[in-house]
Amino acid sequence: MTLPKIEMVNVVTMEHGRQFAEAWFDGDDINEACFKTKILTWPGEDEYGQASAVEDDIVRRFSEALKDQIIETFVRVANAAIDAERLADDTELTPPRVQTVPIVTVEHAETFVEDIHRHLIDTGGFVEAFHETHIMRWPDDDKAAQEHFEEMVDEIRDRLSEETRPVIVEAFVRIASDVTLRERRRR
Amino acid sequence: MIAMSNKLDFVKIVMREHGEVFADEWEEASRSSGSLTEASTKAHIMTWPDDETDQTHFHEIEHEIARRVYDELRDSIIDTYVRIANEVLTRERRHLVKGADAVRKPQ
Repeated sequence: MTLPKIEMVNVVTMEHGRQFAEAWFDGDDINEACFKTKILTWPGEDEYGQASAVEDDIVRRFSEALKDQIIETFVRVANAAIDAERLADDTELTPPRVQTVPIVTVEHAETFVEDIHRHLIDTGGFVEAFHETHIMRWPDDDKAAQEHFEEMVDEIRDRLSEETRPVIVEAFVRIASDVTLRERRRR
Repeated sequence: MIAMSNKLDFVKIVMREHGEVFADEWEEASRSSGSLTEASTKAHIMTWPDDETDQTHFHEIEHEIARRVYDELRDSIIDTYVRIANEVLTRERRHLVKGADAVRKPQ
């Protein structure tokens, strides 16, 4: 039996920890970040497997220990940031860079939906998307069939537009309200 | 997979995959033509700013609203497209069968 040939530092220091954290936060893979600390070194390919196993063990233990800490820190920090935003004094706010309506209404959303529908017709966007689904084959040599084909496509387009209208209106009001509110609160 | 008729050929069943293609192609067409952002402009929820940097920000807001609306509605668009297309094609198929039966019946 041969002795392990990988070399390990006597003690892992805060400096190693700092190197690991910086490499990891800079976007390195967690194993790569561990490697960069040089707490393990090995002379050649033969020892790579052994070094790798030790490194994996460090990373596994690290992840287990860190998980609860991340959860606790995230909850604490995110709540603090949200509370600070909620309690912010309005007098400290700078004027918004883009002026928005105070309230996004259903009427705004209706305009949005109608314009999309008009665009779908004018630009041929609906027909283009419909053809890409290949659920119907264009009848090349039959004019009556072509007209009927177009009637069916128009029916699907109009019904789709009509039936999705309420959900689009609701989503637009909610999302646009969220975005414009955030905009008004810009510092 | 294609149902044959004397006039039109179409799939027997419109599936979710068809709906996904439709939704993504529609979004792509709307994005490249600027339909979604233009519709957002037409809603007049924001005032066009004079400053060039703010104009860029104006567009960013428009894009964010359009993207979030689409992301949230994608599933609904897919489901509705599949349902309506199946209804229309099923009705068409029934018409064709009735027509064929009428031709076969003795006068």
